[in-house]
Amino acid sequence: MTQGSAIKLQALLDTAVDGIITIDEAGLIQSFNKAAERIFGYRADEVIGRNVNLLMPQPYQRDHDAYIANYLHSGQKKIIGIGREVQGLRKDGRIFPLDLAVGEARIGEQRLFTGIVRDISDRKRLEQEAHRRLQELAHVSRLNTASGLAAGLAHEVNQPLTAIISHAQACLRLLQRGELDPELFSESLQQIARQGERASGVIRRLRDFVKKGESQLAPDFLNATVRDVVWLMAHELKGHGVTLELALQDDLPRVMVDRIQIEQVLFNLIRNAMDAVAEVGAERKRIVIATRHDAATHTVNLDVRDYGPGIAEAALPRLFEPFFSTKREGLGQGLSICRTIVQAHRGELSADNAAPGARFTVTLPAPPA
Amino acid sequence: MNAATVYLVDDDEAVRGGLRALLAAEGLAVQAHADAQSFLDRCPADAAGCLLLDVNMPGLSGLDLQARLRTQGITLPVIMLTGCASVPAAVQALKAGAVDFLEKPCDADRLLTVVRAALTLDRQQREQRQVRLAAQDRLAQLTAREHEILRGLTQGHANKRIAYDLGISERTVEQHRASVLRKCGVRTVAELLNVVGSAGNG
Repeated sequence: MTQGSAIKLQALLDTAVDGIITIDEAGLIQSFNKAAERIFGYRADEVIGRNVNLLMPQPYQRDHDAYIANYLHSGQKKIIGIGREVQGLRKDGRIFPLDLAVGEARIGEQRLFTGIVRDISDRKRLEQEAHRRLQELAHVSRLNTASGLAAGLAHEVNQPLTAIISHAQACLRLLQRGELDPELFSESLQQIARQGERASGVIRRLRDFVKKGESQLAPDFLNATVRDVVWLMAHELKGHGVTLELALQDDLPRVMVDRIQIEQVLFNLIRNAMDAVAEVGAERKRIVIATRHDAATHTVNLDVRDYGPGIAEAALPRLFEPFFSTKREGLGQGLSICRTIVQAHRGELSADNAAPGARFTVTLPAPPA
Repeated sequence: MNAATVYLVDDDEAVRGGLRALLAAEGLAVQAHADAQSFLDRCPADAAGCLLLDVNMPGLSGLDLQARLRTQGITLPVIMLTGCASVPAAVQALKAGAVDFLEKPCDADRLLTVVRAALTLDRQQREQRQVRLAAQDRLAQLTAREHEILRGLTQGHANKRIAYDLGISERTVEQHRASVLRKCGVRTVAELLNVVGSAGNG
């Protein structure tokens, strides 16, 4: 390479947006462009001739010479030709994430490695921020759900307690008057025992539900999740005079889901459906939840269908936008969160009109075993 | 008149069983229904007693039923029961005419006290209604002329003034006045005023 063409090349490299660093077989830095200076905080003259491992944190700094030696010896490519996310070490000691692509070039007898680096701190931070937001929203949404459920669960426990107290008081009163009818007593005592078990069953189910509260991806049977959510909402549904029918396909394959988040989606969709049928006649206060396996697309689909007035055509395209709401007091958060959750599961949430009523469909991937 | 009965409407079978046992142990007649419609279908128009009503039921809710009762002229005092009391629900129930609002699980003594008070209230309302109907019956027998005389009497006018106002003789007024008193089953004008008061506006 002539002196002139080397200068031209350096000028070209300096215009690149990405950092471009070349090293020789010994790992010593041969060139360091302007973008690399900006990314790592070193001037080119500070690093040229030095081992490239000063740009990486431990343990890579220690092991990098061995990586090169290993490649030169075996010819096995671990990173060359493949981009990957690695950590960089700035002059000021800060460790940051970067995308690294490594290429190999021969110039005459000399073998050079070219590293193209891009600082992805901003992208990572946005990703983490988005994830944190989603967690927060899901949490807020779950708290809302919990406060709605608390009333229903109180009712579920208070019913058997009412029966127990009433039977016990009836027996006491008969006893005080000396009216000892064994049949009446036996009937009341049986009821007391049975209703005690009923109350403890409610507590047990609630405890199971809360225990599953840790957020994690795990294989799950969607039908069981649906049944749990419907059970928790039974009181609320009843209170609004809404009947909910289940049309769940048996032997659905498992789906990889964060159960808590999927429950959240179901709560939201069912609540929306309840709102949708609030103003229609009693015979249309119906919600149908259906699940089915689509073997062709390797998906499990879940429909929440109501028999309300349906969704205005104008609203359909905007339904999942944040802060868009068709409800007077709606915050426009529910469906937006739902779609984000479903998409985080590599699934899709869509809506259409089923005439009468609206249908929301959750599609989740169910890869063949 | 039907014997005083505690009508119980709750969709929870266990709750119905418990409350029925408790009320029966106190010697009260109980008629339990699983839903509001079945109660409406079987409740006699002149039902006496009180209604113990769960707020939260499928189909016709407790509050709906309360409204329906009023339009059907059923005057049973209503006690609302709820599994999860909320202030708005309580206010709504009481505004709609419930005599009390109890939260489940409710104390047996409190429940029985409230039920007894409701039964007493119903009996009193029923007696007052009897008196009113009797008074209205009597007043309905009066002729147009006798009503004119009655109006004069309730305004505290003497026979002479009434005769003058109506343009008839004082003697005729006296005859009508005697007839009014007889038809209303009373002997004095003071008693007559009581009958008029009992009949009320209705």
